[in-house]
Amino acid sequence: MLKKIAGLVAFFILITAGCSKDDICSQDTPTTPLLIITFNDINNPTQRKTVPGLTVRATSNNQNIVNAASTDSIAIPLPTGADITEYRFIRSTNSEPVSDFYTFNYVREDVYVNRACAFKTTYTNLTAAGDGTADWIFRVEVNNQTIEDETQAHLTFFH
Amino acid sequence: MRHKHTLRFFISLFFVTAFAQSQEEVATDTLSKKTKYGLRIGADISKPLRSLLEDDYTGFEVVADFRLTEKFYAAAEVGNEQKDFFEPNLNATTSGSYAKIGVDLNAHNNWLGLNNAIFGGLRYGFASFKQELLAYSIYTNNTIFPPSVRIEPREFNGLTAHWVELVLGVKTEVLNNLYLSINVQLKRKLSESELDNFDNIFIPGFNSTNDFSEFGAGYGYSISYLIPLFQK
Repeated sequence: MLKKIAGLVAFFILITAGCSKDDICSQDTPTTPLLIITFNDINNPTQRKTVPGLTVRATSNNQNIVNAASTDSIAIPLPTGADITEYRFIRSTNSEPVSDFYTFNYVREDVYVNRACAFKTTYTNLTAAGDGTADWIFRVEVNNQTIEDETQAHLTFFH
Repeated sequence: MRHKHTLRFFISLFFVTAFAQSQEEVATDTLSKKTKYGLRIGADISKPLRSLLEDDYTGFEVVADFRLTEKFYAAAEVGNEQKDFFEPNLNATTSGSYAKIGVDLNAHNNWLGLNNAIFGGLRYGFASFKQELLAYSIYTNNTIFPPSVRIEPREFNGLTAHWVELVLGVKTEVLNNLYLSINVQLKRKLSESELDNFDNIFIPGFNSTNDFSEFGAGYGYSISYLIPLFQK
């Protein structure tokens, strides 16, 4: 009897000394949110309008986030290490591609998630400024200055 | 690997205990019906051992119990622990002291002259500790921008936690008045200090916390000496 119970105890120790399950950051856990941008019709501002052949490129390192996609909404990352970032939005129809540069300014804050994911960054006081050329994006509207989640659009471009 | 060696050690020690116990059974035969009452004092030997074997842990624990009735013992443990949490994306360290107080119930009917125990116990645990967040990285799914690692140490002092725990274990008298005890503990947190934009990763006495539940687990392996005070 004594030994049986002791065996159980030893078995329990074996289990508790093993690995723990919360070592891996789950994909379902909301971490650093992306900036959600929707594209609306300049002539009919409440209507979404698809951008043909949209490419979005980070100016700082010339990497494409969106590559020649036809879409009316995108989600792009903001750096977790800088308060400012510039993107180039390129529209390529049958004719020559046209592009507009937009600079995003914001205030960053680090928020604890859990031990596996550690921290995420959220952004407040978002502002967006174009390069002034308005080659195809005629107007921008900030819907939500705070980027804490990805449930709705933070920014709308009118084209 | 280190865990494996630790375990192997405990398992071997456990068998030593078991054999020592069976020898005792053969050796003792004719004794008075009275059993010993007294104060049993000892130390958890698994904690100093872990301190030696594991780089990220230092700790010790003093254990004591006092026999109240035939089956009931008042029991307490006092200890101090330091634990580092050095993961790729989060570096933190916790240190502090704890005390646990409660009762043990011996469910084992000893043969005459034997003083072994299969016991269940209840404890109330309390810890006073501090935690330091040393460095962390920002979790993001993007691969476009360079990852951010922040080395901005923050210290959280004067933290407390309370919990209850269920203990199950065995005690064996290996030599006259010298006991070896092995036990497992299931803990449930009652309350803990809330941290500003961080969490208690570890609580001394409670062990690792869990992001998704209030439960914790632990074990003990202690050696203790009974100071016999009277017989009943």
